[in-house]
Order: sequence, then structure tokens, then C-alpha cells
Amino acid sequence: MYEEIIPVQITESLTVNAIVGYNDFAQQDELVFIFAPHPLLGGDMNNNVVDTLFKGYVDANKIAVKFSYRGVDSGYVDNEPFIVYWDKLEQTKEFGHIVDDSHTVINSVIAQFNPDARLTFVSYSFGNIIALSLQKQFTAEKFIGIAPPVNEYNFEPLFNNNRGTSYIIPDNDVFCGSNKMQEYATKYGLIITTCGDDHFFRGNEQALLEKTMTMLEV
Amino acid sequence: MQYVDHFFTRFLPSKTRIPLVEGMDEYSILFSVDFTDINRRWLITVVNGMITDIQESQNANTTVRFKVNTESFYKIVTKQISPQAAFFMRQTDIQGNIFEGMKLARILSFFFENHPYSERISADHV
Repeated sequence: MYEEIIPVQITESLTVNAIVGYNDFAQQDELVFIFAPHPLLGGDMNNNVVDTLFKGYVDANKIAVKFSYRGVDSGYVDNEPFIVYWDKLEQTKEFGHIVDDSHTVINSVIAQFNPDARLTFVSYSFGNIIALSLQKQFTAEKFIGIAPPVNEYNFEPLFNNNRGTSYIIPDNDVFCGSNKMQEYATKYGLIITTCGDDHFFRGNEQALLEKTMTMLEV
Repeated sequence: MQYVDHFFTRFLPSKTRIPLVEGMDEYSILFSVDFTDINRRWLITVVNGMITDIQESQNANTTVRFKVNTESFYKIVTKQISPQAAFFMRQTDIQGNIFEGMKLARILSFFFENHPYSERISADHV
């Protein structure tokens, strides 16, 4: 497996690194972007789920891309510890900057690898907010959402704008209530399947990978 | 003396009134560390971003309970493994408010990064 680090300049003092993974047999007409969870919830590009999906997709001859959100890699945002920055962000629940950062990252990777590539978004937890917000700009051909934290954030407008999208939810997830997801499924035509026993998929990473692979092959 | 006694009665008290993370001045929480192998539990109070009180107690409701064995806890406080990594490897568990617990794990990562436990109490500390 090869890994390329693509540093993406967001502002003068802020860089987000994207990691692009591929092997010698990679299909170059598709890019799979993996959206990480909330940095306060153990969310970075080395998260157990993100890393398992990333390696699994590369092994399946896909070009996979993962990245951490602003401040997570460097530890700071504008001289402020990233945890402080994200704590403030969490209080406002305004993630427009993160959506914009991710937009820039995706554009940079596409430009460097294949401007005509088909896009696949696989988003985990908080990453669903970012990926669903970006759908209208990129219109990913395939989308899989994993455990969207509907108990913590208002997903209603995001689901409304992304009707018919597919989700994997764990059985007992304190952040992603299955009853609530079923209500959204009925209302917005979401497709739901289950995997894992809690939000963090500890020990169930491979099963989750296989589930997403099956869904991507459809 | 087990290292946990030294950690909670000597080391951690010496770190009170020190910001866990610069800039989190309004962060307050009551949490506990529950040792699964020795059946002991310490309560830790954080007020205005600083540890203000440490008590051993079996009885108290806390916002977050970290459940861990002595060996894994030693690895965490000596920076051999981060609290989040320990959680994802099922070496610790979080009960109570999971979101606050994960956030606290991040905060404690910062803290132990700057203030690792480095005492060598005895070879049988874990």
C-alpha cells in the first residue's frame, strides 16, 4: 500500500493533511473519501473505524482518502489548543468552517488525482454532518453514513436534502437512536441496516468494513 | 505501596490548581476512576479547568466513570498509551455521559502529555 500526504492550505496558519492510500491495482476512476468523527469523540484519521475502512478500501483496489479536521493533527488552531477550539465549536454547533475546510481538501485531492473521478463518501458519526453538507456541492455517486449522531444534532435538514441515502447503525448506540433513525427513514426514505453493538464499533471494525463493501458493490 | 496510592495521594495532588488544558477555564466535572482489578475507586473534581479535589470513595454519583485495570491505567498516566487509544482497544470503558467521557479523555491526554507520571514505586506496581 502506498500513502501520500497532501497538505492542504486552509488559511495562512492552518493546514489540513489528507492521506491518500492506494495500491498497484487501484481503480483510478473512483475516489473514496472517509469522513472522521468529532475530534472530541476520538475523531481523527487514525480512529479505529476510519483506519479500518481506509486500509480495507485500499486492499480492495480503491483509492481511499482520509483526513483529520482542523487543528487535530497540529494540536492547535490559531495558537489555541484544538480541544478548546472544538469545545467552543461544539457549544455553537456551527460547523460551517469544517464543511468549508473539507470542501477544500476534497477539491485539492480530486485536482491532484483525477478531476473526473467518481466520488464515494463514507462518513462516520459526526462526519455525517460534514459529508451530507457537502453532498450538494459534489453529488457523490455513492454515500454510506455510519452511526449519524441524531441524538446530539439536528439531522432533519440534512436528511431532507439527501433523501434515499443509506446508513449503517449499531444496535445500542447512545448517539444514534434506532427509533429516531427509523422515524427519519420513513420520513425521508433513508435505507437503514444494522451492524455492531455500540457507537464505537470496538471489535466490530471488520464486520463494518465488510458491510460497507457490500453496500458499495451494489 | 501500590503505584495507584502514590499516584492519587502524592502525584495528582501535586498537580492540582494547574490548568488541565490552557484555555478551558470554565470546564468543570466530577468523574471517577474505577479500578476493576483491585476494587478501588477515586473521585476527581475539576473546577474551572483545574483538579481541585481527589478522594477515594466507593459511593458517589459522577458524570463520568472510567473503568480500568491498574496495568492499563499505568500505561495511560505514563504516556505509553493515550486514554482514547485505551478506550478504543477496550482497555478502558466509560460509563455515564459518554460524550463528556470521551471529551475528558481528550483533555486528560493533553494533561498527561505535559505531566506524565514518572515515579518508579516498585517493580510490582502493576
